[in-house]
Amino acid sequence: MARLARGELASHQVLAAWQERHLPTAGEPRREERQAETSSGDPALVEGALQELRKLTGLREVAELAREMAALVEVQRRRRAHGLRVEPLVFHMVFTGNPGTGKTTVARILGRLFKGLGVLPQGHLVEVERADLVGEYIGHTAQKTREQVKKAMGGVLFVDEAYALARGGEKDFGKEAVDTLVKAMEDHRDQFVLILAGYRVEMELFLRMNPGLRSRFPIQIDFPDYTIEELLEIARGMAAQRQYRLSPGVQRRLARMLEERRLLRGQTFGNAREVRNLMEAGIRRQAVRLVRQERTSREELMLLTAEDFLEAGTG
Amino acid sequence: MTSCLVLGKPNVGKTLFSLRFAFFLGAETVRLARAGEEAHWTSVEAAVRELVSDRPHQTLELQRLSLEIRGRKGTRRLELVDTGGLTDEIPPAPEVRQVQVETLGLLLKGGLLLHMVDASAVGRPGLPEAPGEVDLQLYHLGRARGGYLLLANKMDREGAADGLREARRRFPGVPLIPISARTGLGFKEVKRHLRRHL
Repeated sequence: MARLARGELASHQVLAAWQERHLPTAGEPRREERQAETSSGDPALVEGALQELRKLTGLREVAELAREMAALVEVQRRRRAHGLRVEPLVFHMVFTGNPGTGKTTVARILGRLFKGLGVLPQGHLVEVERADLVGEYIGHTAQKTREQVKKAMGGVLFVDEAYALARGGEKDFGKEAVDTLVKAMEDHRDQFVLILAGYRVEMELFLRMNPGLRSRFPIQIDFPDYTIEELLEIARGMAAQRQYRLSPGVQRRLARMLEERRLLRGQTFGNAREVRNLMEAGIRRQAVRLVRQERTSREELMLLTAEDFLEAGTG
Repeated sequence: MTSCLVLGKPNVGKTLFSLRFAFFLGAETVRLARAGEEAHWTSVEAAVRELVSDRPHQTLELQRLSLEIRGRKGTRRLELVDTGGLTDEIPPAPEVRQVQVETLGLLLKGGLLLHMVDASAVGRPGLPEAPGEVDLQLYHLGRARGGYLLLANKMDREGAADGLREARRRFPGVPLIPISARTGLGFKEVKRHLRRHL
C-alpha cells in the first residue's frame, strides 16, 4: 500500500498481491471461504472431461451423473454469489463393478473434471490397493495410509479392491487403514476425493461391515459388465486409435472368443482389459505374418484379419 | 452499518451513480464531509453540477453517503462510499495515488462491492474507461469474497448492448446488472440486490 502511495505499484498489482497473500493461505480458512476461492475453475477442462466421459462406451449414466455434479458446483457458486445458503458438497464415491469395466478410467477423468470445476486444485489420480495402505506392525498402517493420503492431496485417492481392507477380520491391520482413511476424510474435508472401488458383492459386504462408511460416500456408481456388442465397439475404437482396421470376419471371431472367455472366467473376466489384451496379441501376430512378406501395402499394414486372432484365443 | 463501495476505473460514472442512487433511495439531502467542511445539496442536479465531470479523476476524496433502503421487512441502513478511480497504470499525481490507497484500504476491510464498468467502452480497448487489469483483479476478488455486484454503466450510450454481452462473457458467474446512471435504468434491480445482502 505504501508502495502504491509512492508510485511504485499500480492498484491492480496491489490487489493481485493481496489476493495471493490472503485468500489461499489465511491459516485454516472456513470451508465456505475455501470453496469460494478455489471455485475459479477452468470451463475448457470441464467441457473436455465431460466430452471424454460421453465418449466412453456403455457408461452413459456416469456421464450424466458427472454432468449433474458439474451443474451442481456451478449453481452452488452462483447461489453463493447471490448470498444464498449453500450446502457443503461431498464427492467421495464408491465404484462397484468387475475388472475392466472402466472404474479407473472414469476416476481419472473425474479428477480432471473436479480440477476444472475448481473443487480440487490438482485433480491427479493416486491409485492404491491394500498393500499400499496396510503395514506390517502396529502403527505402520496409519503411517502408510497417511502417506498415500498426502500424495493424493488436491486430487483423487483411488483405492482399488477396497473390500480387501476387511479381509483379515477384526485383528487385521486393514481395519486400521479404513479408520485412518475415515479420519483423513474428516481432517481434510474438501482437499481430496476418496474413491473406493471393487467387485459389487464384496464391496456391498465391506460397506455392511463398516456401517459408518456408507453415509460418507454419497455417490455410488455401478459399472455393469459390457455386452459383447459393446466390447466389439471398444475393440473397433482401440483399432481406430492405433490406425488399424478390423475385417468383418475378425469381429465375428472376436465376439466368439470374448463370449468363450466370459464363460470360462466368470467374475474375473477382464471386460475391456480382455479386449485390449486380445487386440495387442492380434497386432503382434499380424506383425509376424507381415514381416515374412517382402512388400506390404498400406492397406495390409492396417488390416487385422481373422488369421491374426486364430490362436490368440487360447493365450 | 454496512458499507458499500462503488469501485471502478476513472470516469466510468461512479459519482453520478452514487448521487443519483442516493436520491433514488429517497435521500432528501446529500451531505458530504470533505476536508473538514461539510457540504450538502438538496437536489441531485445541484450535487451533480458540483461533483461530476466528464474528466477522469474528478473524485479525489472518498465520499460517504448514509442511506436507507426501506422495505417491507423494515429499514436497512448502509453507507455508500463513492471512491476514486482505480487505474491500470501508476498515476503520476500523488493526490490520485493517495485516494487509491484509501480506496484499496477500505476494499480490503470488507463490505459490499459495487464494481462499475463502462459498458459502452468494453469493446474499445483503447479508451481509458475500457475494462482492464484492475477490473479483472476486482472481479476475481469479488467472486471469491462474495457480496459483489458488477454494474455495467452507460447503457444509454451507443454500442453499450454489445459491450454488455462482452462483459458477461468476460466476467462470468457473478451477478451483473446493466444500468444507466444518467437515466436511472436498473436502479430498482440494484436496490433489490443490495437489500438482500444487508
